[in-house]
Amino acid sequence: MRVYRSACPCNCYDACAMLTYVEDGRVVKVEGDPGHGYTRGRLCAKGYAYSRRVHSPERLRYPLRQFPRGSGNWQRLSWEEALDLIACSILELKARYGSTLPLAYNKYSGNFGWLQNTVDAFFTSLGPTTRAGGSPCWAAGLDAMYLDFGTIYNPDPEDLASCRAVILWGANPAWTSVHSLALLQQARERGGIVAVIDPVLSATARWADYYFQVKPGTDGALALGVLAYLYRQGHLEIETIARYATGWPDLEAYLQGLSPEWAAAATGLPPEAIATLATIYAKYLPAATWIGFGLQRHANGGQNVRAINALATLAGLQDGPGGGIYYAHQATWPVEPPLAMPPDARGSNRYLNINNFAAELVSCREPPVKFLWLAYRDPVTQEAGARQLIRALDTLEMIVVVDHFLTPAAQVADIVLPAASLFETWDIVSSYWHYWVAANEPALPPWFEARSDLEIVAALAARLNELAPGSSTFPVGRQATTWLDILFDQRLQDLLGLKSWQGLLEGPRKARVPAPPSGITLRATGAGEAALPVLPVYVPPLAPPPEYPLQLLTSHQQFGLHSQFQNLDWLQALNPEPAIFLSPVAARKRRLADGDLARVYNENGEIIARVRIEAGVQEGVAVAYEGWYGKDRYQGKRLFSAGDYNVNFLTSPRATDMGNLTTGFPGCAFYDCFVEVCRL
Amino acid sequence: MGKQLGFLVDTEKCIGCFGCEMACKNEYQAEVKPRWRRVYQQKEGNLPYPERNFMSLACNHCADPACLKVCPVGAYSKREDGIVLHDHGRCIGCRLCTMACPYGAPQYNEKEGKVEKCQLCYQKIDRGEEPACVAACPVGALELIKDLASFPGPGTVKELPGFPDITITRPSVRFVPPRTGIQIRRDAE
Repeated sequence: MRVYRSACPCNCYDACAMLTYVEDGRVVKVEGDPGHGYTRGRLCAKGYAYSRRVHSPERLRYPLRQFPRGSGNWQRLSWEEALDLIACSILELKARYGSTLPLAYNKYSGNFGWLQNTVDAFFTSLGPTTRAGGSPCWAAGLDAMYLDFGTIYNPDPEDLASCRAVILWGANPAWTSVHSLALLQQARERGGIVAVIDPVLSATARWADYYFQVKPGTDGALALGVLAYLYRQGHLEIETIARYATGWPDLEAYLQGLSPEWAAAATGLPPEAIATLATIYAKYLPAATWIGFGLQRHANGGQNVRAINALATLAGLQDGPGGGIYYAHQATWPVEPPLAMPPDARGSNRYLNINNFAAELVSCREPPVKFLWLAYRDPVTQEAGARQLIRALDTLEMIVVVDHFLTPAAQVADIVLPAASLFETWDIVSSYWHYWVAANEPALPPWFEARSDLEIVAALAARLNELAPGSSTFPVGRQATTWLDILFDQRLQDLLGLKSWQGLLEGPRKARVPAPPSGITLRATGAGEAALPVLPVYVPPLAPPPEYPLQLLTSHQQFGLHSQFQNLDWLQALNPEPAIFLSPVAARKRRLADGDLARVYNENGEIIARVRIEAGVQEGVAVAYEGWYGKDRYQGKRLFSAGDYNVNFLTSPRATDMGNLTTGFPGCAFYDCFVEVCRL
Repeated sequence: MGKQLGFLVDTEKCIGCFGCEMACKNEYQAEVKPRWRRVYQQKEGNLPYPERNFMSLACNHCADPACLKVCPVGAYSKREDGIVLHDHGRCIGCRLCTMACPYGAPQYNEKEGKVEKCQLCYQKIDRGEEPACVAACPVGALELIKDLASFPGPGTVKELPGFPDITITRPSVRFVPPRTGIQIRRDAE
């Protein structure tokens, strides 16, 4: 038995380093790497199920072609046949339109390993192409950070352990960052407290010392109400604020008009709750405020984050180590290596909003998009307005999907290519949360005919150049390890104190944490230029229309990571079927009982799910977890047809207020989704 | 009889992440069923404390194990350290033990026609290592009690609501009861 270094490349705060035990070419066990300072030798439930993923009988083994598209009529191809079909499509489109812009690439977070950049480089190597830009995840919050602090900064989350208060604002780390709970536990053992603000009584909220149940999208009113209360009570260090914060007089004037009663009415909390939260901010120092990604998935999401930034910064100016605002960072992420386009290429890439991809895809003209490469994601499961996306995809001439499983997106593709897993490839993984970086070495021989994304695009580039010399500048002979040499540039070398990334093969390493921002800009002129309020004032959320009175929150699930893991048998046993969670009152009004099958619907479509009545869900809210594409049978009974449950059949590609500045496009207001529920 | 090993289940720390249950599967590359360790989640309203409702349980390696008593072929034995071992080779799959155990620890494997249960990672224990579930817990909510007799356990209890009658088999498990924070909720009726 041999042990290999692995690193989980999923879109997750914790970004674990793992030790993989291999016997006879099979993963027989995975363990957390005790040398990783944030995850300390432990994995989450999903991570412990990795052996079921890598050796799943459903994992794709060979290149496949579906003809006609959507028919389910799959035919095995050789790699030569598959690459020929794709290369001919690329070259024919390039000749027909005199441009490479009909070629589109859409990727996201299915694998955040550094080598993801090589597929971007491949598309650059063809000439200007059409790309999905922006982020469905964190865009509005990132902009809020950038407007307020001029930078994207995350303190070292290991310092959470030394805080006297940790305020989890819209974050549920018991499900999404289990290792962080150990630090919160330490903070509690040292006499600190943990408070959770969330519209839903989450697993973390159940565990916390304080829980505040706000109406969705009203976080800004709570933050500003608390700030105004602290100001009135004389708890703010006005002289320090005047030095540290630009625009304080303007915000001060605004705060004078706010009262706890106003904040209570807006948030649905009693006025005493405003005082309670204010006391936590005033008395428990240092205080850390962890802003989750969920609360910025509203049309007023960025503005709400700015309000929380104002509160947490102005109330915490006397904080010691660990205090401050936690959101995310990009400090340890590599940048796409520069690659020249072919000499005859003209123009630059065309970017389509990843959050409005369907509409922008079909409205693209001169030239239209005809070819799509989907990798590292399943947008049919994860993109708002998934029905529109399926229709938009059907206007294309060629869809290529690279994945491990026959996902819903793969089911509407022409060619599906089997991707190598992390256990069959080199890579490096960093986190957007902590500062550890880990290497991943190949632990297994190739799985049937699966290839890494890098090997796939390199082979495609080689074939393109055989058919039409000079059509790709991609360095086809460059090995994964050489790409990592290039990606591990001077900046990353300095941050990690390593001359070469091979140093990570001795164990995970922690990067230097950057310096915190030097002040907060309360009066952000950049916001004004984007037609947003310059001050972090309250902007109310969208109200539900009378016919769809329930606000549907499609939060992260516990047993999957977006559309990954949840299809594995070990995890499916814990989470056998999708559900719609309703409050006892909302269920009774609709004459729904726990266990009923229900139709959840709005103007976009409908889904079918099992009713679960749960105290802890407030009356105007329904919860259905995203990412499900599991089997449609449970214990032999057919419950759901494939496609009966996809929360994004109900969501709309509605824009958040912010996101343009840091990601190029607004984020997606996934949670401004309104539905009605009735018995099936 | 020497010392008795046991589990300490700290329901105050437990976040219900199911890491212990999956780590057990990972360690033994077990099939979907049986589930040797299970995280039970109790619905709000079933407990005197309304909220905290996770209980991670496996075989309790009882002082007075019912499985051992009823097994007609002597497939069960109790080690010096108190681990209740099940001998897969001897098991005839009669399932008397599954009916006798108050905790559902021995479970029938349909594929094999035999019973299985948590063996407290006895090979690991013999190497001086922690059981896989204990080693996996991200918050330290699951601990191995080295000797139950001398376990002081301030703040620990022998049973929690929802846990079957402990007088039948005297299970080798102790709990830290949960604590509920201050909740300002909007879901009141």
